[in-house]
Formats: sequence, structure tokens, C-alpha cells
Amino acid sequence: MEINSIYIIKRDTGVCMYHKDFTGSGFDPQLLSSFLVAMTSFFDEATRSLKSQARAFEGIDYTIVVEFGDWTLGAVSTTIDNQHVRNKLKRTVRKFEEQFAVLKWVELDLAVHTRFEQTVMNEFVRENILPETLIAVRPEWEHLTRRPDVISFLRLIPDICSIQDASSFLEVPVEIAMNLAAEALWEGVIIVTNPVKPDDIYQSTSLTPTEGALDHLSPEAARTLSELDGETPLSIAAERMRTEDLKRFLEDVAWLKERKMVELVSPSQAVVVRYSSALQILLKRLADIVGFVPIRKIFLKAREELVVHYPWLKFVTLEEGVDIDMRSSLLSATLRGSISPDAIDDGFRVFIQFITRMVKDLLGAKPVNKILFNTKNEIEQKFPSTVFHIEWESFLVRG
Amino acid sequence: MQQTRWSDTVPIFILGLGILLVFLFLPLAGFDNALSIVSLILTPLIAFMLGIFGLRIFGRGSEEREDQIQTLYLWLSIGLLMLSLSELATSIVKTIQSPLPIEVTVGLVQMPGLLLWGFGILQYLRSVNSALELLNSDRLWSVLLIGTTLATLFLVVINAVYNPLIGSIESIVMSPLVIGLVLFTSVTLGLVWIFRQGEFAKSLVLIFIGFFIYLIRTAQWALATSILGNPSNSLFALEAFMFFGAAFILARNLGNPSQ
Repeated sequence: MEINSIYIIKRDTGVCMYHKDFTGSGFDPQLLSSFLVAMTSFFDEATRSLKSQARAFEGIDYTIVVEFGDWTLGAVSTTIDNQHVRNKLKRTVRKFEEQFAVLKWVELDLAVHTRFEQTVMNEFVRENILPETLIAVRPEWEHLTRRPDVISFLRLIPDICSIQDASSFLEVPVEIAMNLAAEALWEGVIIVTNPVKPDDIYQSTSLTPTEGALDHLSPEAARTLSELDGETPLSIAAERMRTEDLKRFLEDVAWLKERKMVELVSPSQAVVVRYSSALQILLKRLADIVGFVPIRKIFLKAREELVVHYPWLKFVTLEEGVDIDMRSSLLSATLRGSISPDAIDDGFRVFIQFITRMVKDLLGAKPVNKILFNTKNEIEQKFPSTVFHIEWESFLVRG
Repeated sequence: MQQTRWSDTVPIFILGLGILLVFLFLPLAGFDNALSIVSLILTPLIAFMLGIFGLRIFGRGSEEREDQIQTLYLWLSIGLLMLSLSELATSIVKTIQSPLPIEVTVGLVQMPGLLLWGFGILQYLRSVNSALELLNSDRLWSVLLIGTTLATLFLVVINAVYNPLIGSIESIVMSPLVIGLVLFTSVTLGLVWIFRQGEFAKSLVLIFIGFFIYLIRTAQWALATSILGNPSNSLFALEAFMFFGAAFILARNLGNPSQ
């Protein structure tokens, strides 16, 4: 998990009103809260700014990300600082202020820790649990939790299994198993690892690693490192490397990931890569039939119509023929995570819908739907488990 | 990355050397007749094969259209194909030892044009098939190849049996033309059917009608004698050309917003 601990602090008093530590080695909440309040007010004084400007305090292997509410200040200690984490923190702070508004004026015991638990769990814990996530139960876990549902869940499942296995073992829907695992993770009684999947898109963080780091690197892992460009799913990278053993390749990537030499790209970047591959294949197939010129016209027309609602589409352009080119402004925004995955998903979906509707006038409904079907199959080769994150049905056209 | 190595061209050079040796050896050994037969067959055949070979390498991928060196090789291949036909004409004239019947001459002159049409249509068919994934592409090509060959032979036989007025040479030259046009017409009809609901079918319909009229015209030649140059026959050709022109105009505005 990338989050180590979370704190919500009252700004004018510097009292920590809520904290949760996921690692067991967090800072003393009261110590940290006084430090943060002191530092942020120092910044405000120093820059004579009315709006608080501090954003993060960095350690060697952690960053304390700070976001401000009206009367509270949220801080998470995290291993990565990106917009995605910030957005989650912002939402959490906003919800806290709504739920416990009265604390702004008076100090009361509102059982904040138990009542706010679910919100934090939804924002920070739940997203780490996927159906294919592996869970390992900690030894002596009975002493660590008192929740009856977690206890009965852990008693019944094997010590190491995936969520999917656990759900079929208990004969409950996967969703319920995921919720139970989130609670168990919250209690700190299980350790979760998300296996590296062929759909995942990784980027190398150390293209010029130090001498020492390279010594431990196997030749395969070193070659792997140069293939992970942040735009290629592992399935395709494996193909490019002509590796015969996909499992071995994924293990190499997991090994690199553990050593922080590669990292998963931001969710927005993953969405961009997935959708742009789909769009590229679709355009290529359409251009095979009607030629480049009409498809270019349709692409540009559809983009022109949508740019009002999705200004970032301006940065999706065509090179020669129908080759899609993402301008670096968009790519860096997605890498930083300053554009949300939902916005990208929404924009691309509408864009492809526009294109298929316009192409329908040219080709008729049936061929367009057949091409969509073929495109989906081709994407499924590249992104076997996330292919249906694209809403293919919404692209279909009616005759 | 493969390099450009002289050694890659060895098979072609061996073939060239082999032919050279045969041409030197046969007259020395006194096989003059054999030499003329070999040259009659080989010259058009080699030109045709190399032309096709060049087209296969350089005719694919429209993204390379801008590439001038690709274009050069493409034109060289097309030139080879055309030359192969003139060589074929030489061979035929040499074989029958008399001036060619006018239909055959005209037919041979027509062939390059029809070949170009054929390459266009079949390449497009391949592209559509790869986008829509309708049929397995190997199967499609074998079916087309076997189908056209059988149909051509069938037409030659039919002509020989039921229409003895037409010379066998004419029949052999004209039958592939007719069958080729039948193939183009049916492929375009198929494409029209696939895209029947869209704007795009409009230009295809015109091409289909063009092919169809031209087919009627050529079939008249192949099946009846002394119709060449009749006003009605020329009219068919004219109308067919008109339809192609109309198709160009429609295709030019493809993809423009409707209103």
C-alpha cells in the first residue's frame, strides 16, 4: 500500500482529530500535527499569503502530502505524491468537515475514529483490493482484531489465497469477500499483494541506475527495464522481448517493482493508453476500408465538436495517415495524475461514439459493428483483464 | 534488421545465368526449335513473375505511397507486367506464323488495363477483409485463384465445343478477360452488399455498374465474331468509362459532413 498513515488536524488549535496508521511505525499524531500547523503557518507568514501554500514535506522514502479544508488540514504520509493521492485526501478532508461540522466550534467526543472509519476505508483501503489480489494472513492475528466478521472470515479461508479463491471457498459474491478483506487489511491482520498482471502498464523509474544497483540485476531484468516505457502493457512488452515465458517475465517485473526500479503508471495514464490503443486500431481498420482522407476528416470533425466539453482532446492529434499522436501536455498531465481517469474515460468514450456514429453514415451499421467487434478482440489480446473497462456496447450503432 | 546483401539476389542470378547457359547451349547442340519454344515461353513468363513479385513487395501498404523510392519500384513492377504482355503477343504471333486476329491484338492490349484494375480491386478486397475479418485470408485467395482458373478453362472448352467459329487463340486470350471481369464485378457487388446501408456504397455501385457494362462488352467479343468496333459495342465501353468517372467524383467527397 502506498499510504503509510493519515491525519486530520484542526487548523487553529493544531490538535489531531483523527489519525490512522497502516504500517505500525507512524509518527506520533500530536507531535506531527503541531509540526504541520507550525510549518504551514510559517509558510503563510513568510509568503504573506492568505491562502495556505504548503503542499508537501519530503523524507527519503516518504512524503507527507498536505491538503487544506476550511478549518481542517489533512495529511497523509505516502510513498508517492501524485494528484490521485491528493484528490483522495481532498475528498476525505471535505467529508470530515461535513460529517463533524460541529467540531469547528466546540470540542466534543463524537466517536470520530469509529464513525469516520468507513470513509477512510473506502478512499484509501478498498482500492488496493481487487479480485485477483493475494492475501496472506498474519500469524497470531487473533490478538489483533475483535471484529466478528473479520474473525469468522479469516478462520474459514486458507492462510494464503486470492480474493477470488476466498469468495468461492466461502461461497459468497466476490464483492463481499473484497469488503471483508478491506476490513481485515484495515485491522492490519492480513498482508495484501497485487500480482503483476499482463494488462498493467509500468514505467521505468531508473533508466540510468547507479553502478551498484545494476550488479544485482539479471540480464533479463535489465532488458525488461528498457521495455517498460509507460505506454505499453506488459503483454505487449513481453511480446517485443520475444519472451516465451510470460509468467517469468511478470516475475521479473515484480522483482523490479519491489526494488522500486519500475512503477505502475497513474490510473489516468493507464486509461489513456488503453483507449488510445483502441482508438488507433479502430481508425486503422476504418481507414483500410474508406481510406485515410475521410477518416481524418471524421476524426477532426468529431474532435472539433467535443473540444468544448473536453478541452484536453485538443492534444489528441493525428500524425501521418491515421496515426494518433498524444501531445506531451496531455501525457505529462496523465503521468502526474492531474487529470482524473474518469474525465479521460468519459472523453474518449464520447469521442469514439461520435466517430462510430459518423462512420455509420458512410459504411452502414453492420460493418461498423463488426469492426468494433474485431477491435475489441484485438484489444483483448493486449489487455486481457481490463478490456471491458472500455464500454464497447456504448459504441455500437443501430441501423 | 536485415541488411542489403548481394547474396540475397543469388537465386535470381542463378536463374539468369541458367537461362544464359541454356540459350548458349541449345543452338550449339543443334536444338534450334527447342530454343525458340523455351524463349517463347520464358520471356513473358519471367517478366510476368518478376512483375508480380515486385508488386507484392512494393504494392502493399498505402502508408508507403508518399515514399518515392517505393513508388519507383512499384512503377518498375507495373512496367514489367505490361512488357510481359507484349512479349506474350510476340510469342503468339511467332507461334501461329501469321498476323494476329484483330480481337486478339486488342485483347492483349486490354490486358494491362484489366490487370491494373484487378490489382486495385483485389488489394482493396484484401484490405477490407483484414479490417472486417470476414474470411480467412489464405482460404479467400486459394478459392479465388482456383475458381478463376477453373472458370477460364471451362469457358475455353465451352467455346471450343459450342462456338467453333472463334479461333482457339482468340478464345484463350479472351476467356481470362471475361472471367477476370466477372470476378471484379462479383467482388464489387459483394462489397456493395456489405456496405449497402452507407454512403460509401454509392461510389461502389457506380464502379460495379462500370464493371458490369464493360463485362457485357467484352463478353460480346469473346462469344461472337466481328463485333469489334461496332458503334453499339463502343457505346458500352463509353458508358462504362462514364460510370468510373462518376465514381471518382463521389469518392472525392467521401467523409465530408452531410448537410
